[in-house]
Amino acid sequence: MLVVDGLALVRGARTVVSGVTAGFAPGTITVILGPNGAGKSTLLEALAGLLPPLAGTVLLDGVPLSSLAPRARAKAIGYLPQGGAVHWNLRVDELVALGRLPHRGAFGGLTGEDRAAIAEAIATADLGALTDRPVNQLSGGERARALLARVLAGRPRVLLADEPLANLDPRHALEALRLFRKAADAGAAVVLVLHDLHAAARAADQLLLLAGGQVLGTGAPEAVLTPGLLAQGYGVEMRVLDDPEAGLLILPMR
Amino acid sequence: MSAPINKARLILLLGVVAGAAFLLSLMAGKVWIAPWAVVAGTPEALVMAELRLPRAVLGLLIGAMLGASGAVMQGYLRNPLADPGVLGVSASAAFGAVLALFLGLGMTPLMVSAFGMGGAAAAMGLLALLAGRSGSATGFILAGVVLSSFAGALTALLISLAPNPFALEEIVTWLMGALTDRGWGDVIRVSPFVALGLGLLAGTGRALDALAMGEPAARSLGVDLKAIRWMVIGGAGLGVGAAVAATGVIGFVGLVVPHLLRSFVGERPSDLILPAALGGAALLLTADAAVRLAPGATELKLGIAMALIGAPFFLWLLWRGRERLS
Repeated sequence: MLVVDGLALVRGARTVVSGVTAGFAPGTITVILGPNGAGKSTLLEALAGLLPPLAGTVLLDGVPLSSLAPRARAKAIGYLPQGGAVHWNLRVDELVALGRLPHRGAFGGLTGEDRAAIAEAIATADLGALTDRPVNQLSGGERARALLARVLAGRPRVLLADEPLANLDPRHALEALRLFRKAADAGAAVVLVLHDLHAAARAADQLLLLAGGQVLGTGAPEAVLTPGLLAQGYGVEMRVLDDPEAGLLILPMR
Repeated sequence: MSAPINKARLILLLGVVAGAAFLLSLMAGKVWIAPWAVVAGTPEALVMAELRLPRAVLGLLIGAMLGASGAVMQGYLRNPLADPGVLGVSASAAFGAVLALFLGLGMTPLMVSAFGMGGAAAAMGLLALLAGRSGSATGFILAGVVLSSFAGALTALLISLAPNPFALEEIVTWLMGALTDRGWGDVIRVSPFVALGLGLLAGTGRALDALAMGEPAARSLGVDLKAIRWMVIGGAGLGVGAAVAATGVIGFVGLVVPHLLRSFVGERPSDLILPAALGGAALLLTADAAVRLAPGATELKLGIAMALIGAPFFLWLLWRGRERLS
């Protein structure tokens, strides 16, 4: 269980997040929503233990992240940053193997457990036919799956992803969401930053609506995606319709 | 996964090539000497033991150092056009050594070495300060470029202030870079630092792999960016500093070798370090043998030869791969 309490975060001299308190339970998906500049990515970075808090704590199973050794932290928490850059033209299996890094020493080959975790991640992300393929030759959807498999290979207890659906078409976006659900079903606490309100409504067990670095609303999608909170958060009047099949439909009006 | 077997085979092949280049370097010259002449107790044995063997060992060490540091710099900066020159370490070490020559200390090679490594150490310290506390690659490369041109300007200043034509000639000749007339003393002065440098660089492999996904992802995988930065600065600084102090500036090895090998080894940075060391040694030894064999009364300087071959070759590589880079 990942818990943040009274969290305040700064970038340089600017306070980006303040007074955030929330819990992220194993087996659930939490989606962080909010307008640009709301502090979503900053909050996610702090959840990954990469940004020390100015005030408040981030606790993983009761232990402050700041007191964990980088490798122990890296074993527990998988983090997929925004953009998903891969600077060298690695093969898919090489990319996925990077997820095992915190489990390995500075030298020496992959252990049986490493190989099993890599194979499992490749199978989960349906990359079996692409293991030899250089990353540059992947389509956007395949690339997103490969990056996700990299995180899955570490078998993290907490899985954080910053805008993992950016640049994905509807089919691939749904596919990616299904993979995050699989990870949650396997016991991970999944936290996603998303911009797509519909994807958020569909994927989330819990929503966290941020605005101006503070939590505007938290809870089940129906409780957070209300015209009142959305107008307050985004500064746009929105109509919320409940479709029996598609779920919540949100239309920005003016 | 069949890749590891191919990698092992390639490393073996590169080792054989480097060994052959080492033998060639022993044999080649105005007089060809067979390697087994060493045991015969002939005048050739003396040439072999006192001139060619230390020269070949020095070529091996320095080629390996330049190749490996090129591979590590490129991996660290995620830029295939980086090499030890980018760090500014080569230029700063050269400035240090030129300062020793300027002060008339050219007769004591230990002083030239010490000044060269002093220059490299100063460059390392400045880099760490200039690159800031963030450990970001951009800050690092900017600091290196600035430092490199600053050291170049200081070196030019010393040349323009040279007290007499002899000092001037000594400085300019040294700057061109060569393995000519280097002895066991040079080997002894260089080898501990090259060994330490190579050791530090070899330890960065896994972290360089993680850095392929950018700094936040690497940190999330438990990589200590500051430690890695110090290993890169320290490793390249010590090894290249000592190497430059012994031989002058020899460019392009660190740039071309990793670039060439990438199409065989793959692009994973950790897979490139050992092959680049072997390839760098092979290239430097072969080039040094070639300059000895080139016709003419005076021997062509290795640094010049390397630039003359390396620059057009590298431009050709860029031309061929321009679609890939854009």
